[in-house]
Amino acid sequence: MLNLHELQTARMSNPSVHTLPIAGTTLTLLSQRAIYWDDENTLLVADVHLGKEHVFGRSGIPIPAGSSETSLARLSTLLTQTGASECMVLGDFFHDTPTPQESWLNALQHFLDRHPTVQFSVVAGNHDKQAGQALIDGRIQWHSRAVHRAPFVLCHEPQIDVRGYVLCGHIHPVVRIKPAHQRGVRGPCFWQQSNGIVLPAFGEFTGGHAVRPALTDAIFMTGPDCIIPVPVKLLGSKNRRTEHG
Amino acid sequence: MSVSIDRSLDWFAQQNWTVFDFQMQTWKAWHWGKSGLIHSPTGSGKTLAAWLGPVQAALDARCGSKNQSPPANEAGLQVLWITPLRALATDTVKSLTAAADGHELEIRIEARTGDTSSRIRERQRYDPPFALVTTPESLSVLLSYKEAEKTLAGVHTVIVDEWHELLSSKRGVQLELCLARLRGITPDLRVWGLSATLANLDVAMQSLIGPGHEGVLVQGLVPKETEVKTLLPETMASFPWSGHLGIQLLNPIINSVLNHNTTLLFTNTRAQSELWFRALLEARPDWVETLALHHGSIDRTLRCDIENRLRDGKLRCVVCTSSLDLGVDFSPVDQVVQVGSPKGVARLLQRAGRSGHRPGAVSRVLCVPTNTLELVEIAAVRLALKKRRIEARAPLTLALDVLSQHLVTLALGAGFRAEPTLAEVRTTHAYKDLTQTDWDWVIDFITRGGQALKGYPQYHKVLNVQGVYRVMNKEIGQRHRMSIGTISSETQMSIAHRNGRRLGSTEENFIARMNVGDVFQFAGKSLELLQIKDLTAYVKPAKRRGRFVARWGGTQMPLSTELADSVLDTLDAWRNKTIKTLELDAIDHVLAIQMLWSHLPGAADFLIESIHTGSTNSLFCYPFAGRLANEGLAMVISERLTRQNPITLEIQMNDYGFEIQSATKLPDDEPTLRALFSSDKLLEDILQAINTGEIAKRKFRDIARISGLILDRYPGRSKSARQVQASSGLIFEVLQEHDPDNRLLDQSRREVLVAQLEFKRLESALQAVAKRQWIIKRPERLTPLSFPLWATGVQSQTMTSENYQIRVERMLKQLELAASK
Repeated sequence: MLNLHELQTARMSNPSVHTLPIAGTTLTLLSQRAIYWDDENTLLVADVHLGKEHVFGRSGIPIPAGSSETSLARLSTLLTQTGASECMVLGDFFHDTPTPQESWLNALQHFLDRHPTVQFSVVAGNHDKQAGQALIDGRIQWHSRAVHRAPFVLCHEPQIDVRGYVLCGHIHPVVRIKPAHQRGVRGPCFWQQSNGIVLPAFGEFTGGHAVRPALTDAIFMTGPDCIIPVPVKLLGSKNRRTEHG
Repeated sequence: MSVSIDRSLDWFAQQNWTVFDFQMQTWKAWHWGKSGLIHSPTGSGKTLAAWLGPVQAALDARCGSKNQSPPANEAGLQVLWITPLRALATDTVKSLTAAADGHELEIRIEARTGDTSSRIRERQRYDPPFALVTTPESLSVLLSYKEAEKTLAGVHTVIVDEWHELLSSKRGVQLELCLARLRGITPDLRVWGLSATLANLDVAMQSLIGPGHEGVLVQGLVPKETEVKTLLPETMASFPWSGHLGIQLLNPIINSVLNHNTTLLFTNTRAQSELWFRALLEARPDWVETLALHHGSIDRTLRCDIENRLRDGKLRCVVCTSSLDLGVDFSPVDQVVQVGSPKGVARLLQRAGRSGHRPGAVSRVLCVPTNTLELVEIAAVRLALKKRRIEARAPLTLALDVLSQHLVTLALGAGFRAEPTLAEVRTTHAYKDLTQTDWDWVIDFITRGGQALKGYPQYHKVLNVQGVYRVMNKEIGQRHRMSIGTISSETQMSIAHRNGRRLGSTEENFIARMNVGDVFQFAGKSLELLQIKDLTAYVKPAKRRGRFVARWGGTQMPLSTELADSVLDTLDAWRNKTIKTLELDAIDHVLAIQMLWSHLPGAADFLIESIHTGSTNSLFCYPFAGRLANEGLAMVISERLTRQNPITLEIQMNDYGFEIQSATKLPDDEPTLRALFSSDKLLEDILQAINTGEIAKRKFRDIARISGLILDRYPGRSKSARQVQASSGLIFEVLQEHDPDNRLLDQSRREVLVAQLEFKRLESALQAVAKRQWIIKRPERLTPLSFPLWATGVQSQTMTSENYQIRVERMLKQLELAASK
């Protein structure tokens, strides 16, 4: 277990985290597409989409199983590394109502057993079907609407909430950096706006949606062991929000 | 022999037509029960050669002739006419019907394509006409119905129109499989292909009639004379070294259009056709009624309307793309203009043939260069025509995506048994070398979803019911039918007026980058984006001129080997002063600059230019292997370079050569370069390059669609379908991670190797340059040959062995630098 002091020291030299002071507290953006909230010792992720490959399989589209297991393994590693006592999923924890035999349900059970002291909760997203929640271990606490945890509002879809600064998912933001004469790179990112942050999708088998941030927004691109602040002004006018949009 | 051949002779006489020998030869061969391939230029009477055999036989049957060749049962479907373009179906039905009428034979001939209403399609399954004009996709759909074998049992002849167009595509493979099934139903099926001239006609015929079958290769009329002329700029001083638009020549083109009745103006891309249409209309607003734009993404009803007006002689000029390469006879056309490089000899012949669409007439084509080097290509194409260097088209083999789609189709239809079906599949040219292992994998893929699907008890696309493979789930069946088809495409977004009237479609990404209120150019109109809903972009006409022009994916054709060789020969001839053409005279000074600053390559040497520009170093290499093989070569060289040091390289390529660009110094001495260009471990290195690059992932899109890994999205699709939406890139990554032995990944790499990078051509290019004399120059500035490579900067690829973060931060610095300028 990593204590807070160690984490802070690591942060000074570690490119894989980025610290953001917000509303009197501190959020640490992690390159693994998650946020660690220091004061509450809470790990936040969004859009895990567990069981998505099984939904394909059921519909006759042969996507191999295994990405859900990988997502859970990554989450497990993060919980161990941060020593978080709480894990909050900002919606779309699973992809569709699962059928009882699906392999990831077992993997989830093992995952929960491995972290007996962590408190898990999910703010239900558009994919988290009510019927499916019953099939998932009772240790997970479900919230059907936004959770207010001052100074933040934790929810799935981006929204403006007078109660506080919004942390959400749903969009699966990605950003593309492309200098002239080069193909450029594209990667998942955190998208910070004046009233909230959209988290990148945590799940393995999730696509991305190119964001069009405003000049006043901030973008933090995630890559292997790194998190890179991307100045919005460098994105080119086509990739920025204009007055019309 | 059929007595009714005489009826055809009478009818020809009534029409004042001459019966050509090749027509008579085909009729006789058909009556003898033979299959074959007719190659002849467009407009030479191929249709009647292929069609009248069955017509005569039907007459014989009606007259009670004792001939055995016509089938016993007169009712039911007897002839399938396959056309590559569904737009051609209606016209084909008309001309087939006219011929039948001329023989006083009352038979039903109907079209069955994606455009046919479901009511008619339903009726055709139970009460089929004598002949069905259809596409490979619609034929495949027909096979997916339970009663398919009954419907098709009486078919004795299949005629495949424009086989050269289908030949080297997955649609051709799909058709080969369907034909194998039809031969399975009717062993003595006659298959006839109609084709333009190709260098490998025997292969074209074997892939159509099935290897091992005996066929007749019918030589039609000798090709028409083709006259290639060039529109030269008045002054070359300001004519660009690179670019592909050619608008500088707008005024002379307008004059040339005015001197003719009807002009077809071909461009190489859809976006280019939009720009040309706009430029012409802005220069001549009075042409608003007589100028039209025709390309594949414009809505079919609009295109039909243009085709009708073209046929009726009501149009002065149609700006078009390959959408008008094929088929229909537009007799009023008396001028063909080609904007930009023709890329291949056969393609220019095909386009030139659109004018003077009558037997015997000379075809004329006016070439419009868009940059100086294209003038060399025009001179080269004329040289190649003189030497009759025509390209070959190779049929594809072992496409497992098409095979899995076909097997699901069969399972959905009558169902299939493994052994006889494997035997049947192996009768095709495409799968004659299919291994048992690959076959087993495909069966596993469609029944259990492949090895990696152990975790899916509910997977049930195809079920093995007592040895017969069947699709039992109705929804899966319907979805499969809807996704049959092998033409690849990006997700398309419809463009429609507010009242719902459709204008056509464009790439989703293009629309996604626009804001509501933006104005863009599409189908020759300025349109303002109002709203995006359910994959439809609603628009209204705009008065403003749009900033954006609609964009479509798809790679451009590479310069053919024949034409590339001819370019080198032409350059040699210019250097040796053994050739004199207006085109080369016009760019004399540019070729001279290339010689002065660097070197002008010919067939005997290999030029490399090492040039320092701004903050980057570039190697420009000119193997003249065509865009695709050049890209492959650049990838191999880059792969070898990145292995030596952590470095990021940017690749650009065109038909002549490629550029490798780096922020650090690149080697430019002959021994090091020769080692980099070595043929040793070529396959190993290129496979490595394909794996590290993005290219296999991009190629995977088609494979994923055809094999049913991704579903097409279209407006109105139910919410539940959205749950199973994923991009092909994402699926590629998941397969690589969790099912690395998936054969479709293999296929993707193989397709990249063979089709995308033209491996054979690449290999021979590497061997060829090794034997040439190497000339390494270090010019102080960009040369006429290097400038276009440096300036285009599209189609680039990145090869890197650098740390991700360092690389991204360097890019951000570059952007910063560019922004501060």
